[in-house]
Parts: sequence; structure tokens; C-alpha cells
Amino acid sequence: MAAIAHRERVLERVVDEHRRRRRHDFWTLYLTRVAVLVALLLAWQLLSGVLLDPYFFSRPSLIWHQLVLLVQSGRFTGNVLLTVEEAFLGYLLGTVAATVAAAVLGLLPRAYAIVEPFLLAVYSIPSVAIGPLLIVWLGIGIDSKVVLAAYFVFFVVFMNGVSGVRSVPRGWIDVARVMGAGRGQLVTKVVLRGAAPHFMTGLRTAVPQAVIGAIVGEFISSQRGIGFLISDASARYNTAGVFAAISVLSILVLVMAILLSGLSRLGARRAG
Amino acid sequence: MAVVTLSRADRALWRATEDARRSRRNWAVSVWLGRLCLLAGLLGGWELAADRHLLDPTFTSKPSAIARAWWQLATTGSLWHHTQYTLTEFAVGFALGALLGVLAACLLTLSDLPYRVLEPYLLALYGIPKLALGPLIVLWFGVGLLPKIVLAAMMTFFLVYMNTVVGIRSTSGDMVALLRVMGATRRDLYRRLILPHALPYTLTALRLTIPIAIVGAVLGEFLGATGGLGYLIYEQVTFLAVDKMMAAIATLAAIVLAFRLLLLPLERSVNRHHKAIGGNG
Amino acid sequence: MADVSANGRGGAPRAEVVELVSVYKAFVAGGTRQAKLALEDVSLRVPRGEFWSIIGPSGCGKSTILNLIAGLSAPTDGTILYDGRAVRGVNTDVGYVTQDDNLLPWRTLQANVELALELRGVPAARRAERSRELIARVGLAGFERHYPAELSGGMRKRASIIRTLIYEAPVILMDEPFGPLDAQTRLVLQDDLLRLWERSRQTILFVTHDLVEAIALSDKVVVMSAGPGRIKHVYEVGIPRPRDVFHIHQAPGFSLIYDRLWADISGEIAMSRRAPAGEAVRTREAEG
Repeated sequence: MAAIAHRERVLERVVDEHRRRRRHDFWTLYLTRVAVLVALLLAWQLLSGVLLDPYFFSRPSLIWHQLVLLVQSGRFTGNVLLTVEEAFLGYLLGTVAATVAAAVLGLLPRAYAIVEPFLLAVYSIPSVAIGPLLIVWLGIGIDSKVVLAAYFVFFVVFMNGVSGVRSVPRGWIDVARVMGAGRGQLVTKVVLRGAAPHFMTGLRTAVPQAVIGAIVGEFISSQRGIGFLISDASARYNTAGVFAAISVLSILVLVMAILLSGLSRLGARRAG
Repeated sequence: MAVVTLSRADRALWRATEDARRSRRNWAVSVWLGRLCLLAGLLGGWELAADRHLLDPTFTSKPSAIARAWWQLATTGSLWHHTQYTLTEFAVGFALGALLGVLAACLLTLSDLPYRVLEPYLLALYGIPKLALGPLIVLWFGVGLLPKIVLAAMMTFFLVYMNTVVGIRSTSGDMVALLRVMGATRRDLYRRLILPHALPYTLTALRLTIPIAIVGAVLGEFLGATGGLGYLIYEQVTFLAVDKMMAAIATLAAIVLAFRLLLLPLERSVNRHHKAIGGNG
Repeated sequence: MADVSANGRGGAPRAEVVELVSVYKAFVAGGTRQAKLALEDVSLRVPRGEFWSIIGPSGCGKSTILNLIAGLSAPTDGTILYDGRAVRGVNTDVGYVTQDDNLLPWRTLQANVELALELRGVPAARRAERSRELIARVGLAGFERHYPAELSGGMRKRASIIRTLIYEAPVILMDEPFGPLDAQTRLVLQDDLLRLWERSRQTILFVTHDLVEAIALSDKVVVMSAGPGRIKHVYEVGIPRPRDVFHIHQAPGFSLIYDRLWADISGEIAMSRRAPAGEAVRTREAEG
């Protein structure tokens, strides 16, 4: 019948348009992104010495050379692993402390209210400012970096944890209590489950924070680590070296981010 | 003379209000008492422990020493000298970063294509820890005020940009359609709908970013400076002058607090009008 | 009451302010990437000054029709005519009242009502005059300086209606405007709407799923089929005006039109329950 034929034609037209638009998007979008990147790199390389002062900007070939040097001289692995170790330990320390604090204060509204202005005051201290203090207390070894990283981590995890606990809807708790849940059960089955998403966000955001804490600690005083590589190159006016070290750091952070998102997706699938 | 008799309904209302008031008062009193006790306990305990040598006072200092150090710094004008540095770096950097952030957000959301092309790059830039760029900035700009301003601006920019973009893009499509049917041009849409809608998001970013911007300035001072509270803290390490360091840290915290408190009423008045309208009123 | 079948003929073209001619609307559903037909061969001719309701099961494309008339989306096939001319781009000659009141939360009531006039460059004094008149007419006098968050749902709904009426658009599109309100408020607002309409007699296209509401308010009721949306019948309500919405079920002729509408639409609701909206399995439906 003509009506059905007309209908098919209309549906086909729409699917066609859709497909065309997606193809158009693909080319203009992804290709443009790649083109922008390549163009930037090329311009950087070619204009260096001509328009771009190599002191400030260096160029891709020099930076690559520095990276190669790093690996060949054997300084690469040691320094990277040190920073990772500092970040990792700091992360553990910070998250454990923050989780305990968040759980206790989140569940005891009166305690939280009492402590709140103190927390506000401590949170107002710029986190790097305690770096030198930690040097005085813990020396220039790995400990001061670990604690600084832990400090960076603590606040993120704590804030998210507390807001997670306090965001559990009153209704859930009430229903559970009417069903006869005891104190412990309320905490484990209702509150912790309800706070989990916020808490997870905090845990995720805290990972780069741990790395930053370690790096800053190394800036303030260190002879090793990625942070040291960055500040040392800067002190020697080795622009290419600075860029190279920063790119190592960025790749590290990227790898961690990918690992994390992979882990969280696994966890989400496990949790159903 | 009229005799006023309270009906039972009135009496019930009055009792309920009184009960609520009393329990609120009890709560407030207990909380404030708790805070006082905690403060006294912390400070007192610290002081005592230092005096009894449970804590090594050259290591951890004590409240009285810190207060004395602060007073000394304040009266010799040294505190103000250094505070000026840090304040200027923060204020200029913060303002710069915030302005650029809002501008970038507006520009990049104007049409879809530039946003989608550039977004992954901006995300990548955001992924690089900005503090790690400190030595690079020092390499570029030396040790004057400029590198600190740049660092503070960088830290501010990203958060303000991202929050403003979220604010702009969260504008309800229905409202946009509605205004367009009413005859709004693109400029109208921005002026009357999109920007006012995004304002609370921007203000939140500004408030959250204050401590971050100061961190940028302070780090810059660590990496090379001739003045500033961060510089002060850093140079005291060689003297192990923990009391002076803590005094400077406390001053920094006070500055951050002051700025946040300043922003609070502005944020509150904006949020009052943006309160989500839900349900049947 | 006569029932006018779909593709109603009659009346000189100019008498019809809104026309849909064999309109098809299809779109690609995001996740499934399948093409779905929202509207199929929809034709309507709406005469000037009449109040029409459109009813039908969920997903039958009622709101899509309004969007097409407002120019917010374009038909995949067929034409939309407004005042004899094809609709291109956003149609600023219509008013649109949505389900959510969508008032700007940072503007006072008066500023919200005046918004459309502001966009048209009407000077402040004249704007204030018009807005105050409308605010008073719906009983919101005294609340001009209040913000939407401080008003009740019914008050906000009234505000969103008068802000659409203020620029005197000849055609008003309303998409389940009273949906989120409670039953009593709904009746009061229906009454308000009718009284506002009696004065200015715009053409109104009113989408609803509430049969009683459709009968109480309109001159004609369009019944649509389950997805893909097609016009089944256009019924004439035939109850004399002015109407008492609070006692509409006692009005002469109410039961008859109600039964006919219900018989027609209940079949559609059953159909739409069996097949998901948009699937094209259709058979001819027996009349009446």
C-alpha cells in the first residue's frame, strides 16, 4: 500500500541523514583534533629559533633527546619509582586517616558540629605551606614527602567521605530502623552503602593529589624523584629537561588515571 | 476588659514552638561548649606538654612562643611587608585567572565545534598537575612577582573554566526553547538566561579556588622569591624557627578564611534566587 | 455533536491559522540507532479563535506536533503552515506554555511576566502597565516583587500562562500545563484559563491526557492513535459556553462526548501497552 511505502521512505531518509551527520562529525571532529595536535607540534619544532625563543619553549626534538638521555643514563626508573613510592605511601596513610575521621564525624553530627570550625581553619592553610614544617620535623628523606602527600590526600577523601555519609537520605535510615536494624547494621548496610559513591569519588580524586604532594615535597627539598628532575633541570636552565620531566610526570598521572578507571569499572561490574 | 483565653490548639502550637526552640538552644550550647573545651584542651595540652618536655619545644614550639613570634613579626612591620607580597600575587593572579576562565568558557561554548575539538586538550592540560609546572614558570618569568601571579592565575583558571562550562551547558533546553519562541536572539539568550544561570556555578568555583590560588602563590615563593609569607616560611627552615613558621602559616590561613568569608554573603544571595523549584510549592 | 473525520475539509484557508499537511516526523533513537516514526501522515486544520485539545496515549507524538508548529523542529515530510505560510525556523508568533513552569528563578514575578516584552524592546513603563494588568487579572496582585521560589505551584503556573499571553500571540500552544498540579488547583486554573481566553479568543492548542479537562476547555478534541502518531478523529464537544469547569460533568451532552472519547481512546491505550511506542504495527480500527 502507498501509505506503507511512504512510511518506509520517510524512515529511510531519517536514517540516511543521521548516518551522514555522524560521518561528517567523525571527519571534522577527530581529524581536526589530530590536525591541531600535529600542526602545533610542527609549528613548535619549525618556529623554534625563528619565532620562538628556544630558551623559553625548547622544541620537540630536544625534549625527546632529553628523555632518551634520561633513560639511557639509568636515572629514569629510580626517580620515577621513588615518586611513585612516596605517592603510594602517602595515599595509604591519607585515605586510612581520612576514612576513619569521616566515618566517626559523619556518624556523630554533634562531634562534627563541634569540630567543624577547626576543620575550616585547618583547611584554610595552604597545603604547600606545611611543607617546610615537615622538613624540619621529618628531615629531607622520604618521610616528609609521604606525609605531605598524605596531607594533600586527607582533605579530599575526608570531605567526600563526610558529605557522602551526611547525604544518606534520612528516609533510608528510618525505614531500616523500623525494620529493626541495630546500630552496627545501620552503619554497614545503610550508611556505608549510601556514602559509597561520594567516597569513591574522593578516593579517585585523591590519587593525583598524592602525586602532587610528593612532587611538591621534592621541590622543597630533595635529591631524587621526578620533582627533583623538574626543579633540577630548571635550576640548570635546561628548558628541554624541564619539559621532558614534566611529560614523564604527565604520562605517569595519565597511566594512573587509566588504571583507576579500569579498576572502578571492574568494581562497578562486580558490584552489579 | 477583654479576657484572653488560649484555645487548646493555640496552646499546642505554643508548646511545640517552645520545645523546638529549647532543643535548638540545647544543641547550640552543647556544641559551643564542646568547641571551647576542644580549643582549650588542644592549646593548653600543647603548652603543658612542651613545658613538661613531653614534646621537644624546639621541635614543635608552643602556643605562647608562636603568639610571641607573631607579635614580633607584626610589630616590626615584617609581617605586613611579607603579607603584601603574597596578597598582591594572590589578588592579581586570582582576578586574572577568573576572568580568563569565564571568557574561555563563554567562547568555547558559543558553538559546538571548537568546544568538542579543543576539549580533550583542555582536559589533558588539566591533567598535568599545575603545581608541577612551578619550576617551568620560574624558568620563564624569573623570581619577581610575575611567576607567582601566573601560578595563581593558572590554578584559578581551570576550576573557574570548568565550573562555568558546566553551568552554561546545564541550562535547561526547555527554557532555551521557550525563550526562542518568545523571540530571543542569541545575545538575549546569553544575557538573560545562560549567564545568570551559570553565575552560581562560577561563584562556587571562585570560592573553592581561593585556597588553591594561594597555594600557587606560596609555591612560587618557595621556588624563588625575595618576599612573601611563603618565602618567610621557607627561609626559616635553616633556622629551625618553628614558631615563626607557624606564625606565618596561621597568617596565611587567616587570609584565606577572610576571603572566603567575604565571598559567602555574595554566594548566599545569588543562591537564594537559584534555589531549585521542586514539587507543588 | 458531529464528528469531523481526519483531514477535515471546509472553510476558506485564511480562516485556518495553523495547518498541518501530511506531516511525518521520524527521528533516530540515540541508543538503538533505529529510526522511529513519531508522527505519521498527520493533517490538521485549526480555525482561528478556537480552543482545540489533543489527547492520546503516551508517546503518540502530541508534544511533537506542538514543537513542529513552534518551529523548534522541522517535519521529515509534509508541511506546516502558519497563517498560510510555511514555518521556517522558530515561530515567534506563537506562545508556548510547557509542563514545567520554567520561570527564571533570579527574576521577580513581574520581571518574568514582562520578559517577552523586554525581548521585543517595549519600554519599561508600558511593560509594567501590561504586566500589572495581567497579574491582577489572575489574582496575583501584591506578589509582583516575589521570586518564583517564594510562590506556590499554582501561582507559578498562572505566572507562566500570563507571561505567554502578554505579547498577544494569536496562537498559544500548551503542553500538559496543568499536569504537575493537584486536582483542586487544576480546576481553578482551568477556570482562570477559560476566563482569560474568553476575553481575547486566541487560537489555543492544548495537549492533555485528561479527558475531562479536554472536554471542559475545548471546542474540538483531536484523538490521536498510539505511536506512530496519527489523527484518529476530531470530535466537536458541543457543550455551550460559558462553561462551568467545576460542574462540567453535569453539563448537557457531557456524558455522550465523554463516552465516545473514552471508547476511542481506551482502544489506543490498550494498543500502546501491547506494542512499544513507535513500532509500526497497525490495523484499521472500527469506528465508534
